[in-house]
Amino acid sequence: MFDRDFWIQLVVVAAVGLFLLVMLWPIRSTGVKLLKKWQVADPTDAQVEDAVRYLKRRRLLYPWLYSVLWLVPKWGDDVDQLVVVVLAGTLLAELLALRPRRGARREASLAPRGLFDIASRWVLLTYVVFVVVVAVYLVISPRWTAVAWLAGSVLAVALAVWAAVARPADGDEAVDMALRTRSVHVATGLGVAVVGGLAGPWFGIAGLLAWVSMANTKPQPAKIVR
Amino acid sequence: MTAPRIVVDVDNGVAPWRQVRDQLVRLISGGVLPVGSRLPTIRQLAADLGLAAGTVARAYRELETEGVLTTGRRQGTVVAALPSHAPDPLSAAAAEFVAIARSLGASEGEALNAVRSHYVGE
Repeated sequence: MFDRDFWIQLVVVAAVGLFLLVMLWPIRSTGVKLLKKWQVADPTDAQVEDAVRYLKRRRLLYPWLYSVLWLVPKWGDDVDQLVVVVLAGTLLAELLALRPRRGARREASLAPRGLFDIASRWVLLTYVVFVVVVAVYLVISPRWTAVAWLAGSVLAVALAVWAAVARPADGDEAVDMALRTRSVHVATGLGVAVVGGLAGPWFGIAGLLAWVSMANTKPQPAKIVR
Repeated sequence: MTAPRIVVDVDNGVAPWRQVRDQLVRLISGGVLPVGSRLPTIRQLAADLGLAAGTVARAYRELETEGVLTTGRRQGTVVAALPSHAPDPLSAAAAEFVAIARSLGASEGEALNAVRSHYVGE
């Protein structure tokens, strides 16, 4: 298994992962763009720093995950594999962000933070509908390996969404809420793309379009107290 | 609109649950959190403050016992009434000062002298 070709392929895959990292490495303008997209108008320097840190924590994981997940058996084309890498990166970053806060002085907002306080109901509903439809299709087919992949992706999305809501607050409040919304929308969007790819090419295209649409759905205005 | 915030200093000598409770009472008494306001869940507040869930639960429980907060399955924890006896701001400031003086290792006499010197100074 670990012959010369294996190592050459592994090096190539790692190089592709590093290339992706360099291409996607966030800079100040990336942070500004991200915040404006997620409705933090005229972000301050501190807010931009928060956003850039959020992106760096996720994108640093991509080369490693891309290399590791290359070993996982494939079910589709390379686009599917790439979506799985991004979903795994999203999940891992959200889980790492669950680390408890340190330091003597700690501050917290009193705004309640439920899933429906930060995420669009339409995005969540779209994900659930997609999963149910594809699950029924795969069971009827029947394609049990694909059903197992579907179950795994649903678990990953559910964990990422839970962690995006439950993780301790970090940095500026407006940015923190906007980035939580982004995490939920992107994770469910990636979930739709993975699930669509499992069902076939047309579902796959629909899944990719839904991912782009969900990852660009604006957050609803925050409901704060009262 | 920015939501009100609370700050906990785990090194200031006052139990964290009391810091949470006192700040909530102050916010409710001052009208920042009017009756009907929803509060975060125990888990959320505990995670954000880096405290154990039981610590925040104790603060909430104390205020529920006093009738200030109420917790329901559907609406979560909500401000139910104004505190019957809001803490005297001077007393609260004194408690904070005593906690800091203790953490610095000052005796009662030294702490009182420090206060007097500031009165004299003004």
